[in-house]
Amino acid sequence: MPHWKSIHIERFRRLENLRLDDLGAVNLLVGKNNSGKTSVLEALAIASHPTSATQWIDVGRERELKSARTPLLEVLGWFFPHDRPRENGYDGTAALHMTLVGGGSVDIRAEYKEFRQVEMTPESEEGSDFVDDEPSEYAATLEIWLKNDPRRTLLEETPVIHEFSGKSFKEVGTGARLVPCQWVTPVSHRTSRQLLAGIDQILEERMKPEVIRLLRLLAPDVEDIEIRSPQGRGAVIHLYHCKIGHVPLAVEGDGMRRALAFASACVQARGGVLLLDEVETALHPEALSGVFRFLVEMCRAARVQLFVSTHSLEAVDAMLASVGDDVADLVAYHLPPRDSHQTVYRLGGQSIRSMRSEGGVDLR
Amino acid sequence: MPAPITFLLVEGPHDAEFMACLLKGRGFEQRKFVSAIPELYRKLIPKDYPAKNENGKEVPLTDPHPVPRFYQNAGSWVFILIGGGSKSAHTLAKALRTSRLAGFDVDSIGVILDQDLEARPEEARDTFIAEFAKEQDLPFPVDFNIKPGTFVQGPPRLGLFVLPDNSQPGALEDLLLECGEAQYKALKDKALSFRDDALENAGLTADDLALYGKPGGLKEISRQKKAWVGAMGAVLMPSMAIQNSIRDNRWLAGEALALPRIQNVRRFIEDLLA
Repeated sequence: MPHWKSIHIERFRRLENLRLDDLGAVNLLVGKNNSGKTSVLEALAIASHPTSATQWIDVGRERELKSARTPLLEVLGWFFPHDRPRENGYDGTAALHMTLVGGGSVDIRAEYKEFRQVEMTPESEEGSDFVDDEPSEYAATLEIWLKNDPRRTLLEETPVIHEFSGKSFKEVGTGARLVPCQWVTPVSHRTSRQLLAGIDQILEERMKPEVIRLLRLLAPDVEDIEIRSPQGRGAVIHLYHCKIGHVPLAVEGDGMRRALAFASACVQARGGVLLLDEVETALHPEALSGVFRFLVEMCRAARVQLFVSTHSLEAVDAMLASVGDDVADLVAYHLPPRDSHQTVYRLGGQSIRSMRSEGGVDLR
Repeated sequence: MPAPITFLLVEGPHDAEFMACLLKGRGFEQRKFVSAIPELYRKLIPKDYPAKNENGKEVPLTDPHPVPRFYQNAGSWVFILIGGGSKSAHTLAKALRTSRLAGFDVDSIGVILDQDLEARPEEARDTFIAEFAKEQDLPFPVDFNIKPGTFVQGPPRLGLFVLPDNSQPGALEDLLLECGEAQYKALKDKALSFRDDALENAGLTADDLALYGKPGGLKEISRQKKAWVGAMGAVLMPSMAIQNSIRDNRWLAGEALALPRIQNVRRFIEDLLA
């Protein structure tokens, strides 16, 4: 069921050289703050559709709220390593090497060049796929080489070149998505767009009873989930509580929205990869086991490979409990502190269980 | 530069106390409080009562809590890990994994086994190696296929000692009886008389003596020595386990320290820390 067997990340964000081998069906990323857990998730998200500039930008902007957006070139530029301040242009190269379960590999190399424009960029060009709010005196190119594309959608040795002219760009030959991929950040359960698409799919695939079972772990009186259009204005997710009737999801507790975001993302990642950043966010420790058990079951049924970052031992224990006897499905990667001489340390499910159950060794 | 760290694996609390006495001779003091142990090493201290064993099976609440013992001298630390039988390899593996997670290097590893149920020291070593081979996710390869009583240079430096002397069958009790001969001769003789008299004439049934195993076997010999040492300890330190007597009485003092087989163990510890 796992899709990626390994990932080797070179010069991506502040990860100089990081390797995750023997990936499992459920992969935990642990380590101190700033050790690069979210960057690993970003690398996995980009690897799912590496030749799409929109994917790079979307991934870069997952860390922030829409209302506080970083300028486009800042978002792109900081994917690449910096050994000096970003002044008067910048260039960098990043590489991702992926191996696939069942054989084969994908090599992704991205070169980013940023330079000062001769003239200020005019207003947004017609037909642009992306428009930034702030003009920039800089422009940039992002060249992406994809070797061993398993879908053979691109010619070998021919890079996809995206040009960013200040505040806008037009997507060119993006190639195909290599694997379906969904990412749930610590804040994405607060936005309804992704949720709505997922709930729609859940309803379409007649998975509503399972999702209601999940929600009842947090609110036992939930009886139904619906997409409604109150006063005919837009689609809104509602939960039906037996005592108080329909309640818009937006006014439900964060835990409910978070659990629903997991389910929604999982169905959209069917046959692919699901990335959960800081998985414990918004969930009470006592709810983790039930929610994770549901999530792991759902991922198994949908053939989804799960990657989870966490700072929570309760989350580690809950994930351990959720895999049950299939402990071999679980793998943890301890990312060393930045600037440490150590490498990533991989622990298999058996070792995780031993370390946690025999005295509660802190894996973080 | 961080202080050198040694993991010293032993089979039981009495072995741990014996080794601690030898460490004290080299200036080591036990650090009994968490506050005296640097943050870096505290991951070795269990945070929860062990609910399950390595196979995911529940363990009784009456089982001992596996806390390492921390010893420090002016320049280095020794962490004594207490295993026991088939648990020894797992105890060491878990400590190695924990050190990797905590982010400190282990400079040397000493493994103290005993040979009370084996005819040759190599058998005890091989049993340990077979158990250790079952352990997964070790932070670095460790090969204990070395001659008992010797070392391989590391890092980490590895040494293996099979009690009592890397040669004869036995265990720590053999060394304690030698120490007892030097330090408590009369007590030792009377304890032997008591033990033999009790075994012969106290009306004890086969069930009462089930732990002794088959007559004439290695297990019976080993258990008889334990009973002998235990009888001495019961007089020296009533109502306390033998490790308390090893710690607080004169077993490892005076002439006992110069006994050839005690010197053997002392040299092993010195070489391990060198």
